[in-house]
Amino acid sequence: MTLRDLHTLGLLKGPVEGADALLAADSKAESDAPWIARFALGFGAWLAGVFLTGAVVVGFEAIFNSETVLLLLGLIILAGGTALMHFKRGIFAQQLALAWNFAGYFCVMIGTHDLTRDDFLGGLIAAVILCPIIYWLSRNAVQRFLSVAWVWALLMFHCGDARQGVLLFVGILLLVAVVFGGLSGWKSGPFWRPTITSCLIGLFGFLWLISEEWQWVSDSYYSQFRLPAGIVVALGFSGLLWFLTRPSTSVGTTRLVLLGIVLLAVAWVGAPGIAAAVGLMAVAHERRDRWLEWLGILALIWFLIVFYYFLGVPLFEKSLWLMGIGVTLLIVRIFLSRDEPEPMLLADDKPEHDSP
Amino acid sequence: MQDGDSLDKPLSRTELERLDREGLLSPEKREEIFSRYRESIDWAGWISKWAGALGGIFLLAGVLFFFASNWKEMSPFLRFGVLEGGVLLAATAALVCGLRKRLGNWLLVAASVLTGVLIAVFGQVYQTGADAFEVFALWAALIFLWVLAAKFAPLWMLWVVVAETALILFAGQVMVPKDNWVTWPVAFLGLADFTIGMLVLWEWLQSKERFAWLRGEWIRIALVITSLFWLSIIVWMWIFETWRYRDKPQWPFWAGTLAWMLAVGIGFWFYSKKRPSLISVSACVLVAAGTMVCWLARWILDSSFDGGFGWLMVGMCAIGLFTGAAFLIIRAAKQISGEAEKRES
Repeated sequence: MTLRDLHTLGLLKGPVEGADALLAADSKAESDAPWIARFALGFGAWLAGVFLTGAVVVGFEAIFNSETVLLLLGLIILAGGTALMHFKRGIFAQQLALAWNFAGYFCVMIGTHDLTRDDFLGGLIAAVILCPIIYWLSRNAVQRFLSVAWVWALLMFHCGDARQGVLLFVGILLLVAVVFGGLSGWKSGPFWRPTITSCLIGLFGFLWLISEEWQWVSDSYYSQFRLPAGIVVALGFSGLLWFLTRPSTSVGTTRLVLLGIVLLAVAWVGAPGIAAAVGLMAVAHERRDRWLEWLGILALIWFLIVFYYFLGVPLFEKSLWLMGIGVTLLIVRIFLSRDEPEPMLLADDKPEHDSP
Repeated sequence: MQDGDSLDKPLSRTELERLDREGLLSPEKREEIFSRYRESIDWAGWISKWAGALGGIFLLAGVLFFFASNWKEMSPFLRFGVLEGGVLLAATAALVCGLRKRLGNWLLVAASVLTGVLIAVFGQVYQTGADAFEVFALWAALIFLWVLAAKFAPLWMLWVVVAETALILFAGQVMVPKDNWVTWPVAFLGLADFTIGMLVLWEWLQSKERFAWLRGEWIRIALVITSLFWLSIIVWMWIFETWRYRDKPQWPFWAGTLAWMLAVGIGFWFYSKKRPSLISVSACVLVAAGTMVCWLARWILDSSFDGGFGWLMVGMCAIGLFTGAAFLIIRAAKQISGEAEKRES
């Protein structure tokens, strides 16, 4: 479906030029600062933020030597960075403001961590309070992304450190709920995009946490969350797909149930991350979102590697599962290809770019 | 005048939701619009594509895991039988399907992977005592003819990966342990030479119509990033670990750093002017910025670790360098998209 289709069928309100201009403005914002440039800005700011935090800690702690001062100093730097970002344009100002924000966040987190006697809970509470404030005040997608990322990162640290299993599970539930809200169209658009991306990466982070056998906990600690998390992921993504495609007939109920069962089966083996990655790829296809599809593909590759090294399931058993799922998928492929035309000769394929 | 391309580009759901939020969709026909959108999604094609790709990957990974698990119940005879049968079956099926057809190509990839597993199982059963690099070198040698015959980019890339793995294992198991032969910087220089050689070969071949099968931006990105990685390790080692090589000749570091500077400079020029590739340009710029920050941090903090000013200096330099990097990337993006528009018009 294209804009021309909408216009021809009389489904647009007003002239097609207005709709085209709106979408062109969105994609212009994207081409003005492509994702790799934003990555450079974010990564550079993170690196600079580490050094600026070092400057604050080394420089000021020697004079004041107090957690409260560090916390207050962090808040002041954070406010300064956010104000700079709000009022100044230009790459250097944005980069400087982002680095300040990093340093401010680091100082607040270290200050609260020290104040609450080496507990990540203090930092988590601070991050939860700061997140909506920074998110609403900032106009920068990277800063918004990071304000959300601080929350799930500290939640993850807190759960790992204090073995708060219930909180860990609640975290996964919340992240799936936010992803559902964002990708169902309820809260989409440029304002919510950083939240959705951040929460998806956070969800994969949580699933990685419970998919490994970590040295600091006993073997059975995280294994108890794999299946419940897998159920949440399987229901979450197949439910989301159902929500997006209802009441269409293009994805029938049978296929959705089948997808749910496959995701659940994969999660059952001890790989909820693979289930989430495949679920995300399906949702991304429905939304025609290349970026999300790539995120899903990268997560899939990562979790396959994690699964290979995962010691909770014997290698022999893993091999049987993988071969079983592989053969099933190939049968599905053969079954579907019966209706497809003959594959074309590769030599006839259109070249991916013009030869120079 | 409307740009035909933008009007005929398939809309994503996000774009449709954006139009809806801005009130540009007819409210009484909203349901019909979203229904038409849902019907326009090609699910059968998507499931077919991914079921084939994932099915193949899972099956091959399963076979790999199976033989890696060294199941005692399975006799060596049966192991070889299954694997040799698999290789033979996949290769014959590829021939029957046609080496220029997609299915035939993928079957040959499967046969190539199974060949590697077969060599590994041979070492496992007979305890040949062979070094791991010999396994990979033999693997690369055995599938070389298939790579030439298939004319399939993923198989060519698989061969490059296997060959590089053989080289790095050869360095780690033979060249470097014999300390008087070469050090790691020399080994990395050799690996970088091999990868850059592959990149140059690829750039030369893919521009010819006869080698259209070799085209694909992902190959360029993978080779550029790998080349830069091998060269950057030499520079990073020099920045952070000079103590380990103080009694060794310093020429590999000088040579590596010079090669690194040349690679970054030529890569930036080539991929922004000659063969526009935003990711390749960005890789050159980001590697340069990151390495400069590492060098500055080492140099400044070495003497003023306990002083806040040194940290502040490095932080400000990092901001400056990455701002410059982002600026160059944005400029390159504009230049590349401008040239693409010019070509289209």
